[in-house]
Amino acid sequence: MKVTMRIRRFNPEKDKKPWWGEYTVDVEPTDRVLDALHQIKWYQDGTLTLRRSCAHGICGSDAMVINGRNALACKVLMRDVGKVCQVEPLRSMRIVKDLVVDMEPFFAKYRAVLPYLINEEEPPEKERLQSPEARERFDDTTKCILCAACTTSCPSYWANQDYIGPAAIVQAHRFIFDDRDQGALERLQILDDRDGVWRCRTVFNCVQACPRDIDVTKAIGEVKLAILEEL
Amino acid sequence: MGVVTSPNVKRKYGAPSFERYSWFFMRISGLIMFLAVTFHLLYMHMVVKVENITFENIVERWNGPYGLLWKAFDLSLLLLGMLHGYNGVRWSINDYIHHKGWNLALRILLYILAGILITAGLAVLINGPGDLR
Repeated sequence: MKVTMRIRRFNPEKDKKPWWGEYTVDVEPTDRVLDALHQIKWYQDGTLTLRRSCAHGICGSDAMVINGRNALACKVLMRDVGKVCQVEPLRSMRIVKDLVVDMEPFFAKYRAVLPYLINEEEPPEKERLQSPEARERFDDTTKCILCAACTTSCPSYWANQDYIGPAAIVQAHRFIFDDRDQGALERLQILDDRDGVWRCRTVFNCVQACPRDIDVTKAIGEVKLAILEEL
Repeated sequence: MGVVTSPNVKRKYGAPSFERYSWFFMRISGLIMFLAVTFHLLYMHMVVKVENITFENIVERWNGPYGLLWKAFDLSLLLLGMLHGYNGVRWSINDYIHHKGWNLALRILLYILAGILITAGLAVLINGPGDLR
């Protein structure tokens, strides 16, 4: 089937402002948007620039705005996008080129929440054991692949990029509620900031955007309650 | 094994903030107002009837047997509604106005406006409608 791809193009070294490039691709209904983008890059216009690595919804490299919604290009099927498919780079991020955005501010916020196990006790011979129940407590937030679909779908983040954003809070949640970790208080203190969890206005865009079906707003709510209870 | 904190990451977040209490207040006041305002609307429209909502009737209610209770109810509506509403506007200003000067100016304007309206409401509650009648 033939589909028209409308792609937001921008090369900061050449273009004064972004423009729409239109390409017709011939795809199977079960092809993905990523396959259509590959077809353009490999056979029509090699200058089209995009990020992708695993191409199977695990690495989180190819998050972009597809028909107005944040999604992974490798997870959206062409049969679901209609006759015209519009693809744009993630919002409120500096565009490096075409669909590639500067992820550094996003990762800086990720690092700010200390996203690693903090435990001062001597590690045991093999591993730090955990009961299935204790593991279940933060299971949802372990699914995050740091694709930035949630953070760049958040109106609070569009309005104010000092906001630490849903992805960083999800990553903090993953360790705050891990009973092997001892850094919860430190992380809660970091998130108890006017630009921390309190910028969240429970808009729920992040929940719709997450390609891993994480209940992001719920996780943020649990962190808010933990701050009220623990600090 | 000590606590590993990357030395080259400057702590940008974590300044103790009043927003924690502001958020909690919004949740609680919203919950109370959901019940109180629903009661208020139903009572005023179905029991009192719209054509009977006059200063005379309100004053009569305030001077009646449950007067103090009615005053307390009206006071809670006034304070919760005003503080909840103005805090919401303050949030919006902080979300969208990044210029420090404009942000401060708008918030000062907001606090003055809130102060005037809350004072006027309190004056009516304490002294009765007076010349407004």
